[in-house]
Amino acid sequence: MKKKIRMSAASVLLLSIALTTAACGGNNGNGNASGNASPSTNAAPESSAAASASESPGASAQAEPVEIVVWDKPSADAADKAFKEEAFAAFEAKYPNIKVIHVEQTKEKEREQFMTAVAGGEQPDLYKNPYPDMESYIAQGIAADITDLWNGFEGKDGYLPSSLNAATVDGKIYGVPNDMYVTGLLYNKQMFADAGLDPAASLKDWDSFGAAAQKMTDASKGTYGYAILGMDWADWFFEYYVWQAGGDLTEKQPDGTAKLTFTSDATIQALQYYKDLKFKYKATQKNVVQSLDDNQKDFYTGRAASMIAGSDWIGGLVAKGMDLNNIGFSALPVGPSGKAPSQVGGSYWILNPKSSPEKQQAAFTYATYITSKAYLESVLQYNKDNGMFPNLLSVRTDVDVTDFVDGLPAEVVSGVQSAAKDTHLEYFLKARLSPYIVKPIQQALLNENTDLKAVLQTAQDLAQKEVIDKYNEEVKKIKEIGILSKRESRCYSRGERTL
Amino acid sequence: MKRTRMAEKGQRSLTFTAYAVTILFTVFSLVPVLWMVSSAFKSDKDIDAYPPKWIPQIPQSIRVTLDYSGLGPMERADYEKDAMEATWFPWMKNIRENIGEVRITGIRDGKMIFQAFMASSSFRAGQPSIVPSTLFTDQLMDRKLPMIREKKLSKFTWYGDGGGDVSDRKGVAESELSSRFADFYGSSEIVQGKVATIEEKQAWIRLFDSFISVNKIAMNAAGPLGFTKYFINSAIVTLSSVAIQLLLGGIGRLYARSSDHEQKVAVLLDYVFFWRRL
Amino acid sequence: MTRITNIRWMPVLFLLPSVLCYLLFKYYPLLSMVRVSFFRYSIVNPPGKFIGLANYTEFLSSSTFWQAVSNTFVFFALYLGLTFWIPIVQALLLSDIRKANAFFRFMYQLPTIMPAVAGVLVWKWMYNPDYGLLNYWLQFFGLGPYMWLNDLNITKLAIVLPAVFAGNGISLLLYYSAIKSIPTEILEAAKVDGASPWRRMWTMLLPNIRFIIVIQFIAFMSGVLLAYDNIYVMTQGGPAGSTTVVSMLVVNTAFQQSRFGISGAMSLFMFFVIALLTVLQNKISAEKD
Repeated sequence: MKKKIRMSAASVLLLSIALTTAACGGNNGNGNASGNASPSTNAAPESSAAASASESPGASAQAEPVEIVVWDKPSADAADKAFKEEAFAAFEAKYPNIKVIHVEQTKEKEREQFMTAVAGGEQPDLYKNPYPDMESYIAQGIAADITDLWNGFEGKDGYLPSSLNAATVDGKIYGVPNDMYVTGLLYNKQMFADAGLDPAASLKDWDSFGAAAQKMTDASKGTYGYAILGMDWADWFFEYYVWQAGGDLTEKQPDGTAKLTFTSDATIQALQYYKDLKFKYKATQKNVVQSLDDNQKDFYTGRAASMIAGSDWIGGLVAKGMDLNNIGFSALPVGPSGKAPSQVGGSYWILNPKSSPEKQQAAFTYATYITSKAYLESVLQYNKDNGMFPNLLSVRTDVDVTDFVDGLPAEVVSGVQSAAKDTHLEYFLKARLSPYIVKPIQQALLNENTDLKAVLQTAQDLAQKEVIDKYNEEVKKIKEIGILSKRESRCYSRGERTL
Repeated sequence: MKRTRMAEKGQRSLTFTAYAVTILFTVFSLVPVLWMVSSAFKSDKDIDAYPPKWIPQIPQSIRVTLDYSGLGPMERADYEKDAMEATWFPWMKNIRENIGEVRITGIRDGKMIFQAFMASSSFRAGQPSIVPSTLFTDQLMDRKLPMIREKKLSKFTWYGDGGGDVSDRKGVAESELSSRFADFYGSSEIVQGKVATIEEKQAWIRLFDSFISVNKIAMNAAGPLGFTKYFINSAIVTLSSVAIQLLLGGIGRLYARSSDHEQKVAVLLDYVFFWRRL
Repeated sequence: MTRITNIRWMPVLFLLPSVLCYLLFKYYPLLSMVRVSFFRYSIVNPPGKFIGLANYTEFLSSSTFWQAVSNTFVFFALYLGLTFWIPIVQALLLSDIRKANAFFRFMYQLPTIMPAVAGVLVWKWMYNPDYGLLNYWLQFFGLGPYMWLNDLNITKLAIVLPAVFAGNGISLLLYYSAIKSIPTEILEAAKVDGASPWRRMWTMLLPNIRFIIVIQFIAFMSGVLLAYDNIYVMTQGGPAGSTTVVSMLVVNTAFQQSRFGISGAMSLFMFFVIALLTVLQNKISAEKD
């Protein structure tokens, strides 16, 4: 009797342990939501026909089924959701042995989400990584080296050579170019007209812009002239003003080390202009630290007369109800240096270095498929058919966007194209230095009495100590190893040393 | 004997303070909740309005009558396409306004030939894919009509020759929204019907459309259960964590409470299998 | 003989599930973190290079870290001064309300039905200097428009303010039930002795719920020193780092700068600080008893 009770008690306990671990474990497995969407039956015939004529490398050689995870699932309210789902289905039809699991990524916090996945050993096989992060991810070994895959790929000449710049380090390639954009100034034509301003004259230089923005700021109507970016990405738009003043935030030295120029004249002038926009011209929103989304909202609701934007944002603003004929795009007003380069940015598909070679090959196939001429043209055609403003820049040499821009305001198109003529990559080591430079920018925007030189100096000293010194040391070490091994190999070849 | 309450010195002030402070705190703590509830019913424009609006405005029902008399021969499909264009395009142009529903009545030579209806919940759910921007072309609706039909976003009732007579009213209602719709019909060449009347009425029932549209969007994202799926997910997590804690806590506690080990086992089995009431 | 073996493994088995879960989800991450803090952790090739105490010396000499520590303790002081005593006062006064007592208890719980993040977002909107509700209402009292989250001096206060009004539901119930469980004989005796209602509240009710207050304080302390969610949603670390608390610095260092080793070291530092404070707290309250 005792034994029986003991046995049942033991089994009950085991059951409860099992339940516990099952429940505890079950709740942790929600990382990768498998979302291979069912294809929409109302397919636009052109897009699937076009998408099937792809230039991807012959994946039909792979007979083994392989599964890859790609973070490119469209959100539920995305304008091109139906199109994307058709495209996913078309890829599956063409490469039946490659199963793609599409996962949706968050907006504005995608970097943190990605790092969490990498730290947890669940880095996706393909991730769309923006330009500024490429440098640090390549250094950490998060982006796989795809030089061999790329060199063996027949379609590689279709890509713009400059589009590979940000993904190439020491001659090795770490990403497949996905898209490019340039930044410029987006403005509300109606608001300029209401204030009696001529955009061409007002957007000429810093002084004329400040005065114009001030004129369009009317507290009684709740409008203001320029939506300034002061949240924790403030350096993204601030760097343009430093360029307009003739300098940059950092300089890459010929030997590969970095030099900080936070306290250079150009930076101080740019920060002074930021301060003036807020306190002298009083032309910005009061809530300078509001999110980028809020800035865009102010623009498309007609509160803000202008803001800096990427050339690929126009579609999104129009989708929120803004009239396309009311939007103007121009290069930024020139600064003291007489120049106003646009920032070129974009993203790459980076592969997971820890995936098996089969998965990497499959991921590479997918990445080159969705950046192929046929696919990109089908995207442009879809945008045209649906009245969505396309991205006017392309990473391919064989895709001419101007074929697809009928019915779009010619001046917006020409504005973007002229902005694309003088471009500049973001400042060197941006990903590591961002928090350090954002602080003085915010201090300048929030406190009228900020001593600009002092706060910039403090930021520079801190960044020098915590980031640059270490980075330069690493660079020198790598170089020494490089020189040493070169010396050794010379000795070996001269026969002075034996293996 | 009648019980008298001894009036204590300081009792009045204490009670008064108690009520005042409590009421103050409850009212202030409810401001965010009330704002959240009131915003759930407002249109986009009203949410951002300054001075802040607390009371949501009643959504408007816009009733348009389009006259096709004198135009060339048209099929049912042509009328349907025209009705959809007349509904979706001006609505997209006024996406932030407080439109609750749009009804289009098509008439020809004094007889009603069709009626079309769309509620704002359908518009919100379908807008990103049907009218992603304000660039309208004639071919756009050709492509989108099958999607509208499949998802049943708009209702189209065809009367053909059997429609009833309609009165000969003309005129556009005097509100801003109606005149915007009239401007769109007048300036656009896409909609073939000519505007006979535009009326605007209040549509109370459309106040709740924002909730319905959330569910429709959730159905696109999470499957046929829609929003309920998210609730079910939460319920599963909550209930299982409660159950685990009860189980684990209960096992330990009951063991500690009973004194000899046979009794402990019996108590445990009772607990797990509910043989006897605890 | 059999009895001895029975008694020994039975309690172990009974406690095994909860102990296992606890070890797995609380202690294992803690010990991993200790280990990680001695490496320059590489997420691609864990654990990376062993660097001993270099992480510790680095953050202890970093002014960013000490500013975050100072922010954390300023928040602690603000929360303590503005929000800790409020449920106590609310409960004390509630115990004196006879009519509609249950109604008011319900109303106090109502804000907790709102999702915390939604509440913070509504407050963020209310703080907008251009079209927010607070400035709009304050202008009727002649109080100037404040910049709230845009003013380096009042940002911290702006973050603490929502907690003054909402989020007290559970604490209120705890204090209220503690007050109600005070035996009425003592209160009646005090009444007969001639103590006025105010005096009764001070000398009778408050001391008797001291035990609950101490318990709540311990939970409050660790909750506030590690607070992250509402600060993150409200200001993401605040303009010019003025609301970056240590927990936020830890997350940023780990996920934005990919420096997991040093963020583990910082977490361990916080762990020791809070442990120390808790031990001190226990000692003080034990002495009083």
